[in-house]
Amino acid sequence: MRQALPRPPRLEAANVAAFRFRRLDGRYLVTDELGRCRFLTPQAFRRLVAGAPPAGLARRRLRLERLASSWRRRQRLPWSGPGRHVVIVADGAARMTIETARSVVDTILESPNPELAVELRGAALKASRPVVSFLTAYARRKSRLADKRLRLFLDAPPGSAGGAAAPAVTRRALSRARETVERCFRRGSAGIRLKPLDPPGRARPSRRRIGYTPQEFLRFYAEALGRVLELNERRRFYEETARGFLAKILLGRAPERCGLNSPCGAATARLAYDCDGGVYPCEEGLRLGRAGDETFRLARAGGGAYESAVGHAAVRAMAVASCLDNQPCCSQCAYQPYCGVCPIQCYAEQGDIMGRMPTNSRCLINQGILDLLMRKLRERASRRILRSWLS
Amino acid sequence: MAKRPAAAFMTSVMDASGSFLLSCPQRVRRKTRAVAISIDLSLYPLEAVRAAAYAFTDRSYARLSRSGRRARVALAPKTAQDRLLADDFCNELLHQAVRLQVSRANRTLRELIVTKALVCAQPASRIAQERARRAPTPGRRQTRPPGRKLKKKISRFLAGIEAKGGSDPLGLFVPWEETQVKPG
Repeated sequence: MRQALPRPPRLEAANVAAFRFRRLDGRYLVTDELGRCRFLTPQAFRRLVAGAPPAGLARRRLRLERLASSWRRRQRLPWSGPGRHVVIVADGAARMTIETARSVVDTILESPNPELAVELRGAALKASRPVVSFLTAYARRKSRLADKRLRLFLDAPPGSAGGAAAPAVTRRALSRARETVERCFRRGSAGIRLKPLDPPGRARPSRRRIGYTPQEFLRFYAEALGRVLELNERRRFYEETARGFLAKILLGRAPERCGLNSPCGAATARLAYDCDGGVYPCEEGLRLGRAGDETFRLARAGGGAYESAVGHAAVRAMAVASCLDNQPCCSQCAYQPYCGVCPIQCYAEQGDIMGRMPTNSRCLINQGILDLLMRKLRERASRRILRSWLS
Repeated sequence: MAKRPAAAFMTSVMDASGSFLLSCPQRVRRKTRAVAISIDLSLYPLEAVRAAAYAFTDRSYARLSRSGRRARVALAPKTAQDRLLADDFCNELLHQAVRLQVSRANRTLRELIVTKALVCAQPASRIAQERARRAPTPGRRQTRPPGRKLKKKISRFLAGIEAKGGSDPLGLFVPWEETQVKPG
């Protein structure tokens, strides 16, 4: 027999500002366009829908100028041109030549962004010392002439991400969440970055052997995060993925690393350069290019490379595909203000830069992590620790 | 040898609340495993049908046809093992229809955000060029936005036309086709 569904309450749109919601643990998580969130009881949620919103969601009391500046702050990354440039100086037998290094620096300095961060990476940086020295000196000199602020970073040691250890989370590691966290803690790392395996290639055989489902990863993550919070009683020790989301939830600020912006910032906030001079929109595109798929190779460093890279059709397509307001599911998701999609991950996993979110592994994982963080933020003790990670 | 008749069956897709979304009679040819899906165009826009069929060109050969308010998509799989073609197509069709709907609803916002992001990444020289191209040419008379006096004059003029009650001495309101077609 078919059951009649309860009739949904009629929304009084004249009194209520735009909001998104999600049911979590018997309550309603309500977020607005700026990412301000609050938990409402079912009764309070009904009152909101009926036109009696709590403070902050009353349409007539919105201060639009303040809201606009807050919105700009959240979307800080994509608005000033590529600022982060990753250069692969050497990889195995392949080495960057001095000429290519010069072209790469010339291309980087064509970016209109006044603050540039150049990250030099490679499997054997010591062997490429002449190129690294030239690149560093030339970039410093040229940035002074171009009146730009330049920050140069040498490759972080393998398995780390900006002071945080980044252990590979393989199938074997799933059952050792606590041990993995404790090992990194004992080594003295400032934090840990728990990231699922790289964008899964659809036909990558190793994926079947070491891969896992998003649900399996989330179980691992919940256990590991619990242990990370416990270890914070001894000293400050953060989890990097959670910190990125927390920056957006609590501070309303887009984190430095890409992936949580809309549009994603590929070629509009960062660029990646291979040792042969190939220009890619981001590291994911470069990784795909190395695997033999050159869909996202935008140009070759040299004269006019920057302009052809940022004006490339793939960049436009990626900007449209990673705009969350254009994505089914994401446009209505309560976590939209904190999240971001990676078109290249979608392409690698689902064969289309416009991902299918109901079956997208990254979407499922992000939702799971955000559910977990929202629960933790409701507990006073956990909230205190999570806030301390941002200071 | 007589041809075996094609088997016909119905597929229904329902959402979580039990609402009826799609009902498509499918004809399966046993030999080639080709699938024909008939789609009600009052439920799905033709653009979504085209996009969904296009997305399946890596797995199948697609043929589209239309009769009245229904579109017909015939998919012949490229490999014999592809058994979920019709079901996957129904999901893809739904995705494309929703995407189109979201894309239309948020068009202005999307265009603004994406344009801003792309323009900000353009090299400074390009922006300067664009500005120079749009800058006023010296010596050329610039058009100014109408002032209060001019606005009053325009509204008086328009009010005068309306007051005449439909008289059109210059024939401005006669459609182009009528002026071009010769009588008789």
